[in-house]
Amino acid sequence: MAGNTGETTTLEVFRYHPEQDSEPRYQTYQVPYQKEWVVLDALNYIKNEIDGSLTFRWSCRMGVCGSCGMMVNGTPRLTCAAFLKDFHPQTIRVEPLAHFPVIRDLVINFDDFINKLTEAKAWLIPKEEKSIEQGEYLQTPAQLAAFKQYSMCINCMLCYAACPVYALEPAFTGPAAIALAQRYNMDSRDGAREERMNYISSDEGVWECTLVGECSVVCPKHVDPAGAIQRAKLETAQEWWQSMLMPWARK
Amino acid sequence: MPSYPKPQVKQYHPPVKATWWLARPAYIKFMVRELTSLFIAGYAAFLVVLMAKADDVAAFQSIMDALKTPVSILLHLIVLGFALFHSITFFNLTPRVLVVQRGEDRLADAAIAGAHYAMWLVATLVILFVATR
Repeated sequence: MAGNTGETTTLEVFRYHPEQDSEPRYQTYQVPYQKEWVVLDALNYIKNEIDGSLTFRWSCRMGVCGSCGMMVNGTPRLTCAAFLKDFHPQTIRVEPLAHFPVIRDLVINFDDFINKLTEAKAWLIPKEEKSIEQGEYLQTPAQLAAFKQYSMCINCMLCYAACPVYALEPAFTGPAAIALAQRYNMDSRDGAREERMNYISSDEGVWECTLVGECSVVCPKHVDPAGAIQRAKLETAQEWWQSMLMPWARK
Repeated sequence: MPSYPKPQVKQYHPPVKATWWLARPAYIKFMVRELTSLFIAGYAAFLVVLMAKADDVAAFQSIMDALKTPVSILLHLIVLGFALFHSITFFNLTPRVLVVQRGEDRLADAAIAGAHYAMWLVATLVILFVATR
């Protein structure tokens, strides 16, 4: 094997099989230490060579699909981007993403996040429907720049695992769903801002956020959901004051 | 669209510990930042009391004397530390909230935070000028 130094590295992996376990347990595995390996490579080595019962999600191996997010030594990380060499010779503790129910081993149930994305209408709702003959919905580079950062979200949910507000108040809409709502709100082609704002400015929306800011720190795509939430707070506050002071003026 | 029944699977719900805020240094910093509000509110209450006693020369003088004790100076330094921590972290966050777009580019973070620091300085100088006049 290229890069095999003969050394090993130790992984302490969260295990939970609902048929047998009432509580989770930790299992330790020794894997070959290779400096070009990421934690996901080590998990796949365990699955293929040591213990086929270990269950985890993964797909693209290159930080695009957002399915391999796990807690690595207590921090939410994409395991395809967490290199063994950054931890070696320390033991690496791998756990499922925090703040979500665990279905099996490292696999979480993210129904709640999907429901919130649906509630937030995180998709483009054009101002006016156009037929194919009428052509594309055009946009200038400046109009694209207004929301592009938020469009980089890959729905990996690391931000939810970093958010203590979501842990304490699971009804909180949460970082990614709000950032994605803002992504479409700021899109010049979109016409559903009011519907989304009604949802994200509700009690469980932006005002639950106390700006811990860790969602933006752990985001592998530099989306800055914390910034998106604070901007939405500012907008909703401005709109509220405007409706109070100038009720005749339409938004 | 057909709807399918969700499989009923036993799930593990990880508990949230009361010590969650000790789990990451950033959480501790957040809690300290929240705590600053107690010191700021306490000092605001002290200023209100001071203003209420402004007409009572003897009472005002005794407060003024108490302010010169080492304990009082130490307390002031603690409150100043918390106030600076709160203000600086607040101003550093302003570029995240106030996004000013110029064409394809955003106005630089330093410009937005810098404008807030400049306003802070001006406000401090005005207050110092009025207070020492």
